[in-house]
Amino acid sequence: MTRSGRLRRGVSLAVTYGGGDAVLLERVLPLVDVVELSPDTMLVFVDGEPRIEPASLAHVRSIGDDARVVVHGISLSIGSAEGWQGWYLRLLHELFAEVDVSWHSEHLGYTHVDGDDLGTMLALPRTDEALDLVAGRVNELQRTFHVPFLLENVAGVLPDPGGTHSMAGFLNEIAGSTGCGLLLDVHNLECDAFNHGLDLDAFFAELDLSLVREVHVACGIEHRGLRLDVHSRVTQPSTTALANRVIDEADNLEAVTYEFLPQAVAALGYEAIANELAGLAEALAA
Amino acid sequence: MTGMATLSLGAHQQALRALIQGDRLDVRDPYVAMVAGSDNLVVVREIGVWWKSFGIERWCTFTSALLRQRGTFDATVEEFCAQPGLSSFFEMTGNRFLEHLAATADPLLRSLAAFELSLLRAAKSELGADVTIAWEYQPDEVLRRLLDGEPADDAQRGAFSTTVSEQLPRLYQSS
Repeated sequence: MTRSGRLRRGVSLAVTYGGGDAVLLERVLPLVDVVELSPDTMLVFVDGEPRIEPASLAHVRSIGDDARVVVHGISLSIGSAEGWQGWYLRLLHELFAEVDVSWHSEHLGYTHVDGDDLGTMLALPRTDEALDLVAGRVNELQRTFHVPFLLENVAGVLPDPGGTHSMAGFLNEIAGSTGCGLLLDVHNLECDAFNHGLDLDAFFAELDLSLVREVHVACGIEHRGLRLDVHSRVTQPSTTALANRVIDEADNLEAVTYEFLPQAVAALGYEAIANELAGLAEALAA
Repeated sequence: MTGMATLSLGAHQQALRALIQGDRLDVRDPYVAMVAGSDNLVVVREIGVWWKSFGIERWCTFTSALLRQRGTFDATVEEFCAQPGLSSFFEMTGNRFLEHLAATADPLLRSLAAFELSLLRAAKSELGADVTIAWEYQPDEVLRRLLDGEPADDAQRGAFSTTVSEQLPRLYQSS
C-alpha cells in the first residue's frame, strides 16, 4: 500500500459522502483515494424544480483537489416500466458540467411506479422484458453523458420475483450487451443470501467479474427476521472477505467503497468512520 | 432460476405498488399473492415510513423537535404517511407535513407548524405576502426551549402573534 487510499492490485479505497459535513470530509479525505457523492443528497428546489444546491457544488469542486470523484444515484428508478425520473438526469448534467467525475452509477431497481414513490427500492423480475428496458436506458445514459456508467445489484426486501435469468446472468447480460460496468454491493449479496437463499458461490462462479469496477461494503440491520441494507454500521468480517475475493478475481476493479448513510454519521461518530476506513485499508491491502 | 414472474413488468410493478399502499387488489398472480401475505411487505411499508421520517425531521426541525419532546413523532409521521401521493423529495413532503399539522386542534403544534412552514418559505423567498400567526404560547420562548431541549409545552401562556415576512431581517417578528 503506497498511500492511505490505495489497496492491493491498484484498487482504491473510497468512501461515500452525503455533503454538508466539512468536519467529516476533513477526517476521511486523507484516508481515501475516491469520494462517492449522491446528487440526491445535494439538491434544493428552485422555482419548483430540483437543482444541485450551489453551495454543495462549490464544496464538491474542492474535493476534486484531493481525491477522485464518482457519483452514485438513488432516484433514477431505471427499472420503472412507465419511465425513469427524468429530473435526476438534469442533476447529472449540472454536476458533470462542473466536476470531473471518473464514473457514475445507479441501482438496478425501481423506486417509482406511474410516478408514485414506493418509499423504497425494489428489485426487478429478471425477465427479458426488464432486461431490454434497462439495457435501452443504460445505452441512452451512455450516449448522453460519455462518462462510464455502472449498475449496482440491490438487496431484495420482498420475496425474490425470479424470472428467466439468474441474478448473475441478469447482471452479465445487461452489462455485456451495453458495455456498462457493474458496482457489486457485497453486503447486498449477503442480504440476499440470508433473506432469499442466494448461493454466493454459484453467484460468483457465474458472474463475469471482469465487468466489476467498484465494490460497495456496508452493514445494515436485522429487522423482523430480514437483513436490511440500511448502511448504518461498520462492516463485518464476512463482508470484507467477499470484498477481498472480488479484489483478487476482478481484473478491472478500481475501487472498494465504504458506504454509509448521512443519517448514520451521528450514531457512528467521526472517529468510528475514520477507524473503519483505516481498518478496511489494512484488511484489503495485504 | 424460479421463473416466478408471470405478469408484464408494468402490471407486476403496479400490483406491488397497490400492495405497498394498501389499495384493494384482485390478487391472482401467485407471486403477488405470496407478497400480499408476507412479513416482507410489512417491512417494505415500514422502510417507507422510516425514509419519510428522516426527511421530515431534517426539514421540519422545530415541529419535529416538539413532537419528539412529546414522544409522538413516530406515531404522527406514521399517520401522516398513510395518505397517498407523498413525494420522495423531503422538502415537498416536509411542507405537506407542516400544512397537515397547521390544521390540527393542538394549539402549540398548530402555531409552530404554521410558523415553521411560513419561515421556510420566507427563507426561500417563496412566501409572497406577509403571514401573521396567532399563538397561545410565547413564540420566542417556545423556539428557545426547543433549541435548548427544554419542554416547549411549559412556555408562557397568553395571546401572542408572529409576523413572518421576507422583508424582516430575521424573517419574523413576535409580539
